[in-house]
Amino acid sequence: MQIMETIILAIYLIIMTGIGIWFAKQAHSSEGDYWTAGGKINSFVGSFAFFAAVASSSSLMGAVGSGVALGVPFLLAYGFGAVAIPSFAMFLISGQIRRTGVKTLPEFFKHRYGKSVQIVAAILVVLSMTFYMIPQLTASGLIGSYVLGIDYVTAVIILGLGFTLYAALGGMWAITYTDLIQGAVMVIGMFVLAIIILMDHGGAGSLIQDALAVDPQFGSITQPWMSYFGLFIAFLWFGVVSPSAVMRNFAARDAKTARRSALGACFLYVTVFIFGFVIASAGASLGIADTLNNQDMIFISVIEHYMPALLAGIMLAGLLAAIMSSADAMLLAVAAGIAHDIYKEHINKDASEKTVTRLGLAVMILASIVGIIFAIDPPQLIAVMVGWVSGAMLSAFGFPLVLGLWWKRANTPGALAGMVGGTVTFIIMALLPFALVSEHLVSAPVSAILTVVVSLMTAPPSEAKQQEVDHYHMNLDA
Amino acid sequence: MRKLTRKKWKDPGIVMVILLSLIALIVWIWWPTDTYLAGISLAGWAMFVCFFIWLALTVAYVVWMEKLEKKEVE
Repeated sequence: MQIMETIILAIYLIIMTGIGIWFAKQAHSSEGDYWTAGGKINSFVGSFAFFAAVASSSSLMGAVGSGVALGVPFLLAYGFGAVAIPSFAMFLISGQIRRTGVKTLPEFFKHRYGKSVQIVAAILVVLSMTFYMIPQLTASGLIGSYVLGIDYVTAVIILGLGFTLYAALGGMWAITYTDLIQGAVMVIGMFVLAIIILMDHGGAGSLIQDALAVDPQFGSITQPWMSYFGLFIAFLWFGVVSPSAVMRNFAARDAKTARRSALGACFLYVTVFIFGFVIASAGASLGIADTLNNQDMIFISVIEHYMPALLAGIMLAGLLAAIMSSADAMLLAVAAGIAHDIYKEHINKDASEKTVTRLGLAVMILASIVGIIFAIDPPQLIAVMVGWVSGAMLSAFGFPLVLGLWWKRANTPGALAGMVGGTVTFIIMALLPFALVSEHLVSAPVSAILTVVVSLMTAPPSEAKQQEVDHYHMNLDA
Repeated sequence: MRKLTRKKWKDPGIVMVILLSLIALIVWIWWPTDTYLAGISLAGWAMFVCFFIWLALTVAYVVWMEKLEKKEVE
């Protein structure tokens, strides 16, 4: 057990919970939105909030792990797509989303296509968020097992149940506010770590040479072209198809702040991937990748190797807390998706608040059990699992959303066909032996074709709806 | 219809999406895996350089939109 790290971890988690509760009270008293915080959030704070909402720490940990396990170009392909997440979403949907006035993905589908599409979207959000728990639990299990000195499986089970308890007690507000701090801790932590590494190795050039001396394949393309391209596409689209984070930013703030926040988030992504490049090089130079049970552990090994115990503790605590808040946000999305969006809205409209809450809790527990079962023996590297989630969401939501905003002829049957067809194709592709993270290269075009063809074969949306879509593109208020 | 209404395809966002796609396309078609610079495949470096290009495109978009808004106000 790492005593220093454990103590810091405990203190950090208590402080984060405290801050969360304090902010939650503030938010409830003013009924201000998380993103607007009563309209006081500026672009600087907004950048961190935007970044933290999209970049899960497990994925940063996974990016470094994949850079060591599969060669640094894999990490660079990850960054190639991920750096463009805020920008691509801003270019493609921000102005239009702003004019629709909706704040979440299922809300948009209800507004544009009606109830049936909303229900299917809610179900798919639940499934993808449940799967997204697996990389979160894997990452937290690795950190927990290292810091607490217990075995990985026990750590996954304890932390998984802990997440559920925290989510049930804290609710959404407590979590989202601390995301701001987690984002800052991660970026600053990775910056400090990168500086220490560069000083230790005497510069970037010699660091890369040290890595290559241990692993000659470090700089090589080790996977088929499709895997890199697939990873790029999956992350490029992540901001567009992620259930709510990005939409909230664009919908809730004034347009100028929203755009500048997206620019800031893009800058943070660039810095984080540069630091990630340095950390992965250091990881490769340690020459321990093959000795680890799980190669995603490499990030933790680098932290421990280069940082003094105090800093390492803060960094690991920041990582775990950030993962915890992401995992809890996912659990809450799953609970809300089933208990509120499906059960309360469509099955039993008269359900009492108590019944809905209880159902939500039951769903949360179920989702974490599913997550734990899979995370005990994770099917792939964290980066690959995150890529799968993104690819699956792109296959389901990407084209019904973008076409819904840009093409007035897109209709309900088309959107349903695109969503279901894209998802089914993705699942079939995932079951077939195929290049890593490239399933959506087939399933997303299938979704696009289905949305277009079925829309054209069936009756167009009402005149009023079509005019509304035109209105999304009418003025400059983007 | 407002005077300042722009055609969908002249939207700065769409222009940027097209630019981003073209640049990405060049990288994916070129894909120089066997040329190495400082021990790392040139394909990797090409993707790395694009980090900064994406940032530049985003800056350009933000400035462009703010200029358009200013014009609209005037």
